[in-house]
Amino acid sequence: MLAAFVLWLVAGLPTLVPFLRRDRLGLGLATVPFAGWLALTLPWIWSALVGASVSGWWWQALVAAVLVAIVVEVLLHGTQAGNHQHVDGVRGAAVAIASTLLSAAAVAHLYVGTRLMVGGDPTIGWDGVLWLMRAKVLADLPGPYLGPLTGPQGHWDYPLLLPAWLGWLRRVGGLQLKELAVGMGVVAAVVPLAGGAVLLRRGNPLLTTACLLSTFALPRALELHYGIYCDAFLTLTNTVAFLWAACAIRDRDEPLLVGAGIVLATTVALKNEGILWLIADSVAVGGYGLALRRGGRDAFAAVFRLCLPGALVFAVWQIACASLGMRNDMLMAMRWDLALSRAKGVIESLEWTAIQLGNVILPVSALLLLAGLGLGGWRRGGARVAALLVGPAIYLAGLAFMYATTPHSVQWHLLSSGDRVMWGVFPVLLSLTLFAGHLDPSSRPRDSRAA
Amino acid sequence: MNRVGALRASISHGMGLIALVIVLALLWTQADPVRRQLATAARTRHEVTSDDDLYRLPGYVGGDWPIVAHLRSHFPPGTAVSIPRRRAFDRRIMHGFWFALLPDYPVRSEASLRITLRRLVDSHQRILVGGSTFALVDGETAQP
Repeated sequence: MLAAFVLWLVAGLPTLVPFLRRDRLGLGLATVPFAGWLALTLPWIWSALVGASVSGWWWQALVAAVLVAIVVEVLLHGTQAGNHQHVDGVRGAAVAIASTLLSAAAVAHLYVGTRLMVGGDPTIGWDGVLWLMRAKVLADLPGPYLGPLTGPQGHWDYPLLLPAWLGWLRRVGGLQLKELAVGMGVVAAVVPLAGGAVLLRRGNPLLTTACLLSTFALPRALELHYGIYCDAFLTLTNTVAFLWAACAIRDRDEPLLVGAGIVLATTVALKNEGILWLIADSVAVGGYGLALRRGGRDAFAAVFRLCLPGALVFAVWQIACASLGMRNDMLMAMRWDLALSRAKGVIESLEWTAIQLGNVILPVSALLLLAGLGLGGWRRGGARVAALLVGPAIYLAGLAFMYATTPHSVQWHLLSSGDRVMWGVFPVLLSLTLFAGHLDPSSRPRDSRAA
Repeated sequence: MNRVGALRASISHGMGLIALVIVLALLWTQADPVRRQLATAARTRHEVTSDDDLYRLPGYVGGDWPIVAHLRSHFPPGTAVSIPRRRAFDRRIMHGFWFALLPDYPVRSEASLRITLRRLVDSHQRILVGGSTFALVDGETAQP
């Protein structure tokens, strides 16, 4: 099993090259797990594109070549770990508490993942069955080839990152089906740690930790995550991408924006809702740049850097699906004629779902937001928050549009997945408080090479 | 940092602490189902030592396991099987068949080997093997 984890990280190592060139070893290492997840889907996408099995060691050879390039790069140019901002006093204590909590949460998730048997009744819902069944199928196929699998097993057009990851652990790590919760434990441990490694010294460390852990504070999130659902994974990666991107714009940190783009590409490769987040985050971050008076050209360049990796992942996967004759049922069967008549009911239902889900986190976010605006100044802070608030607004509007045009019953959608698809909004709302008035003015890094 | 800045930073850390405490408290309450699942797993984890043990559990194929065993012993991998998707079928067991058979035995609607509810099997059809709820038949069956 150790080999599976080591190779996963090795597969993500190529992303170190551009970060090393900018002397950003820490940020590069935090990005490696996300790039590794994306790399695990490459053989499947490639096989779909070329229409044949591509079993073999070609891509491992590719990774090895890039590893050699990294070694050569380090030998020729050297690297430095970055100028870490020194913290002390109350802020130092807050960073220490936050680091300890994130590490403790990571250990707890690894424990749960290794002890939880997905036996008895793992099939707590349709999506859980689909993801787990795909992981098993991808692992047990003789080579990466999706060709024979476009039949009635359903929805092979869904993005493949989670089954590719779990299938990888089964294929290389020899895990049984009941042990695949280990993979979900690793996800829940690694994503907040990687996010926190970059963020803790850039903003309010305790509030940052609250944002990173808030996904699992939502109703059913923890339970469904270990029932092999994608949604908590999606929310975690999107929260990290959103926070990294907003910090990158605030601090004029281009490498961090590239890292955020790679994390956002992971979100797109996880679930169809990922593309909604890509659009929402990009518009919000662009607006934030304008609110910070960065200028239109800079804001547009930032949005381009942020969404390029995710847009590529989306485009390539759609082409791959089309080449296999698979189509996205949800998009293809949209009932445009129903949109207007259903819209009011859908918006009311989503509002009710949001209030039920966020019965604590929503008021807490609102109070912190108001307090942050009070501390940082209403006028300037208000513009920044309004710009970032566009992100969740676009995401919710996208959801409302999809639910209003679906050929299925809206109530069925809301009952089966309404809460899960809305999870991602709450960590983002909590994150807004970090940027409301730059809550902790002392936390701005003096040098952009803070991680 | 001046006095106003220090005060702002203190208030900010206080707000962060409040948010973190609330999130951790919520997280603890939301962890109840997972704690119960861990307790159940601790009792049963040693009873399931292979994937086949898992498929034999009632939550999967359960009493219909003889169908899977028959398929594996009498038909080579690659043989297509039909598992009709209808509301009348027990969806939970259908998922169990998927887990146990895919990808070695592709599920195709046009396959002549069919897993179907026992009560839907006609008298003229040949039942290859029967389970507690389902049967493996060769040929078309009645529609539920």
